[in-house]
Amino acid sequence: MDIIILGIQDAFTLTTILTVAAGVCLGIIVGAIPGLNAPMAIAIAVPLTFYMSPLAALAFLISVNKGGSFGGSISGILLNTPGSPEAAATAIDGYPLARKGRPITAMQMALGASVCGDLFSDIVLILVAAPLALVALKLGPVEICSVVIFAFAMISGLMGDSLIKGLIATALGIFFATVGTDPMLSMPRLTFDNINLVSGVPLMAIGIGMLALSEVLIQIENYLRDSRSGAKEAVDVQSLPDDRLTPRMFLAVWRTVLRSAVIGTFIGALPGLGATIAGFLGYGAARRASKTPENFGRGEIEGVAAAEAANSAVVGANLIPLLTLGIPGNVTSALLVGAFIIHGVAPGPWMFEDHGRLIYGMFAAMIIANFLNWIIGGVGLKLFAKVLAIPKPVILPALVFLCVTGSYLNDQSFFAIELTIVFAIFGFLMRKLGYPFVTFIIGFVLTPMLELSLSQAYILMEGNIAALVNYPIALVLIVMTIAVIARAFLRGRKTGP
Amino acid sequence: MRFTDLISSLALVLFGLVLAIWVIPPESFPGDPGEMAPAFLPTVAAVVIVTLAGFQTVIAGVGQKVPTPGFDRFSILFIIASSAVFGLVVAMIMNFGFIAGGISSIALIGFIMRPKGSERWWLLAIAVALPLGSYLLAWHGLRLSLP
Repeated sequence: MDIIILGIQDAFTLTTILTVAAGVCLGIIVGAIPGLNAPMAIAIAVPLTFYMSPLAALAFLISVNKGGSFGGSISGILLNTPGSPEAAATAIDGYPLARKGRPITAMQMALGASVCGDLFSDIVLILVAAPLALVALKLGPVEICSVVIFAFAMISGLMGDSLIKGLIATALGIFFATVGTDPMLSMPRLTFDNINLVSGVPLMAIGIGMLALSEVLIQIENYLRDSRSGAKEAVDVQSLPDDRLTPRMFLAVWRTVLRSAVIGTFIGALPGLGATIAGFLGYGAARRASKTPENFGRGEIEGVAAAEAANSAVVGANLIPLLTLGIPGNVTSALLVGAFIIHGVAPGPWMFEDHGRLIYGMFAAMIIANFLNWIIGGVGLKLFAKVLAIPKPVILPALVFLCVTGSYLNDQSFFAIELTIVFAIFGFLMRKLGYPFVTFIIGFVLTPMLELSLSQAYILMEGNIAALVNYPIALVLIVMTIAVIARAFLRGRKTGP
Repeated sequence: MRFTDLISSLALVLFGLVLAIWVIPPESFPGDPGEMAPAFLPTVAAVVIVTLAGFQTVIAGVGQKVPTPGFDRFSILFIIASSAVFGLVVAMIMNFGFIAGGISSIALIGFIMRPKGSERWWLLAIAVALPLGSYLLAWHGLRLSLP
């Protein structure tokens, strides 16, 4: 109990609150700019957080994610160009509503629903994480190894068009993660006598390269390919009307917000499924439940609330697999693993025992972030909308420089910059060719845990795979892995199995 | 099936074979008896890549080929040119430092994107302000001296 109180006290310091406010602002701005998103900002910001206290660092990064979750809806509503993929469902009704002369109403509804959905999932996270972690602590190396393998299969099957491509991307991630020092013998492996590779490929070189810089490359290519692909101002962002969302209008959709929050939280807790799916599921459920489904798609404010509450509810719930099993469910969680490791915290169920004060401080900071998101988003709504007017030939070169600086700060070496550029080009090709880079990153992040548990399991089972029958949980997980892969093959996904 | 799937899966088969046969064995220490060898996991990854990419090659080779949306000759030229520009950016920052190198890098990439009208002035302002701001932030905020 003392740990909980101390954690909450840590979160209510001026430094943490200011850090959270800065993170929310950054998240909203980055989320609002089409083509940029919160994970991208987190990738660039992780090296900067090395110099912060662990709580301030985590609070900042999580706040960027929360701000970005709402920020994406701004450009979706005003330009019909979602700032992030998860805001696509919000734009279905948000944009027509803005065209009807009610852009502020739509954005305020998006903000309110986003904060409520996010708050709901944070509360669920706080309530279930510790009990689930207690259960997870009872898992041995054989079970942990099976959980990681199951997570790989599930995430690969759900990301992208093709299971094969997902699994190949995961295998590539595993391979690159084995570069460095072997954890059992502490001998260099796949380093090619390069001293820079002895500690392995830095996660941030991959994060910044594949996530941020490759996205910037795609944006520049799109811009050069067709200058008209830059966002057109469908609604004049310089002079928005003074329409307003009334409390009555917001309270009228509370059922929709709650339903979407539950959907988003459930989706977020499952590794591999993302906020985009949650947004569309929440939107679909609201439409089915509505007495006037024909109004959806024509500027129905309930549609905005449904989509936004669902996609934002993923933000908190995504941390459930990370905090209870050490498994990142999406790319943001994978980047948070990097932040945890930078601060000497190994993600997993043991965090509640070893770093309980930090975890409860982080929970409190998440709640603070929700309220600050509401306040900052509400007060600065018109100001944040103006970032849409920043031209791409200004913002994209600046981002390239920030990516380069971020990767240098991580290792303070030019080798990190070179690696970042290599992974940016690799990420660009993966995106273009349909190989999900998210599974690559998750494969990379989970490999140390996989290798350690695998080597321990090997010793425990004396190299005999038949001994798996003595571990029923692991056996069930392996059977489920085979079932997930077989199901994906049988379904004959869009481009092959 | 996309034509690029055939090319990419063939390249991956080749990559996986090179890893499994020529790269991993000489770059890994042999393990102790009764323990998992250090080469085990990277070899498994390489075998998975070869097997799945081989399977995809067969699928891609059988079906009718369709172009990959958003990936054409322009994309290939773009990525080659981008690699050259990035090389130049790193060289400028390594040789001139973060301030001068940063200013020239932002200006270079920005002007490749052909800014129009007032965008040019915005670009120049950002090109100067961002490297200077980053340098000062790193020095005063993080106690780090950027080169």
